[in-house]
Amino acid sequence: MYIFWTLLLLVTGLGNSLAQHHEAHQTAHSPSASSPATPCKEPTLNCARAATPYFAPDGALWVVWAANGVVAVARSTDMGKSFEPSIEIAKHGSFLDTGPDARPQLVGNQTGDMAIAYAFFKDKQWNAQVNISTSTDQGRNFSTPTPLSNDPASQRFASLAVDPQGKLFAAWIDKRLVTEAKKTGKKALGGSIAFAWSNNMGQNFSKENIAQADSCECCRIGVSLTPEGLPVIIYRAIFNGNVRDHATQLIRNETQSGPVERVSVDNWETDVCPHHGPAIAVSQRGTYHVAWFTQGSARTGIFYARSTDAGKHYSAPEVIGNPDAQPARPSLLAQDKTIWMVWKEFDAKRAAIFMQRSTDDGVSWSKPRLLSETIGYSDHPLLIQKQNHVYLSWFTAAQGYQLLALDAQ
Amino acid sequence: MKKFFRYPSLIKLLFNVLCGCFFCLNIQATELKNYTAGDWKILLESSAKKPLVVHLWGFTCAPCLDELPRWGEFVAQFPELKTVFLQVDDVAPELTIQTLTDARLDRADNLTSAVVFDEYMRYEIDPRWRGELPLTLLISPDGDIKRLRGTVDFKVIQQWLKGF
Repeated sequence: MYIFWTLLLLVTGLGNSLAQHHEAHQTAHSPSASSPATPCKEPTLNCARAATPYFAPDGALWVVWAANGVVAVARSTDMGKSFEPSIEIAKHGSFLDTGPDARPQLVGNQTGDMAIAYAFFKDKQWNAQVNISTSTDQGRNFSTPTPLSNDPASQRFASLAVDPQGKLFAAWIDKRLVTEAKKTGKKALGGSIAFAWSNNMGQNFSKENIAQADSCECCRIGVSLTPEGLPVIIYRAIFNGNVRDHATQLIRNETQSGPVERVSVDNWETDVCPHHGPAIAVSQRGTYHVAWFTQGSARTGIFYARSTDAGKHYSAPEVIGNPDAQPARPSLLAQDKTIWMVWKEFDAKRAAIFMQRSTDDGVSWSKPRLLSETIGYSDHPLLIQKQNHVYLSWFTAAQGYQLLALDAQ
Repeated sequence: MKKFFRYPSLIKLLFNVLCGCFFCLNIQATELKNYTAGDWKILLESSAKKPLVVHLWGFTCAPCLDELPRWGEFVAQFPELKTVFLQVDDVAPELTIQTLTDARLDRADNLTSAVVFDEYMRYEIDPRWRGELPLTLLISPDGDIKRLRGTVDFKVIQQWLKGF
């Protein structure tokens, strides 16, 4: 059986996992209409399942995406209207992690170095591995992806941030503790929240640390930096046995994390994979702004809360969006004391992105405003900032990649 | 015998043939049908007014994979109950088949999504379903649907079956 699985892995794509150092060789097509009912079978941006943006110091837009087993990245100098030939980062076929909450990550530092993170499934138990690819020449070339961690257990959902000194921070879901517990016959659920730092944009990392032993294993982690440049993470933790509610945690330095601060008592007791991670943005005043999805006995839907004391206390959860329209996938961005929030709704026929804005650090909010809508497959909405301007980044199968200036709305 | 090893291409050919046979023996018994938009209604109609269990699972859901072998045991215990397994992630059919075979579900009614399983696909099955997995739907002959979110206590299904 082992031989069989080995062969199967080879012929179905894992054999391609050792991605080569690629030169640009394919084109990220400019947006064009495609039938939302027909899955697109190319590795291009037009066929993406998830697309993540990043603005380089020179003002160029970079987008990394996952499409049909491939991770690729491309540069745009006209705000996403067209892209230069793309660079293939990795090819994993069926083994690329394209779950509903998975997406490749892309960040950069002030000198234009970039890091891409993604996950793929590395063995027949469907344990995953986070890989990192780095560019040290402003994106002309990206390195052969290497594992973020060499631990044989599963790692997924890496979230990246770059601190003011240019150090790369990575947090991810890690199953080493769960795997060890199961080996000794103990019942273990979910995963753990791990983190590490890199001084060279991911070429190698410092000691791997566990910030929180008990977390959900299927939801992405949110990360934002405090005014002092320290990461704050938000994730779906496990409380009191198997209650999957959210928590924030300050990462103090290379090895130490602060206390686990529960955002709200939603009381979602479950062992499902929600595939629905939270969002966080920390304002210049140090206020934590968080948004999350729950189906707890206390509340169901997506919610917003804020904390002015580093997560020790959170405001009462406020409902986001129309509860009858499946509100989902919140994204937050803080710009001084102006806070932007977007999310997706679905009414059985079309998916729509709505926005709310606060100009007083989250105390009060504007009414929801429709930003964009589509029929057919669509990615999560993401917020991104370039200098003083805020944009909605949204990939849809019908309209392609869109970058919409919000402050012009 | 030594002569044999002088011909690496022959060894390779023989190896491929053996592997091919192994592959055939292992998975040909499993039929994996594609599931696409509009198929939910057809699936419901196929139950012919008998109890129907639909189990939704995916490869990106570790609890789903952990639970599959227990579903294999359940199906063996209740072979007369129509139980359908729907895999929702974008994974090659041969991998799905092998995983089902390992869980002793190769004789079950197995479906795999041929399209991206997004909110449209979920809404068609259950407007309240937000994508969490695993999800099991117990569908009564009169069309009433009971949802079981997360891994299943199979006693609940057995109790449900007693009602028919």
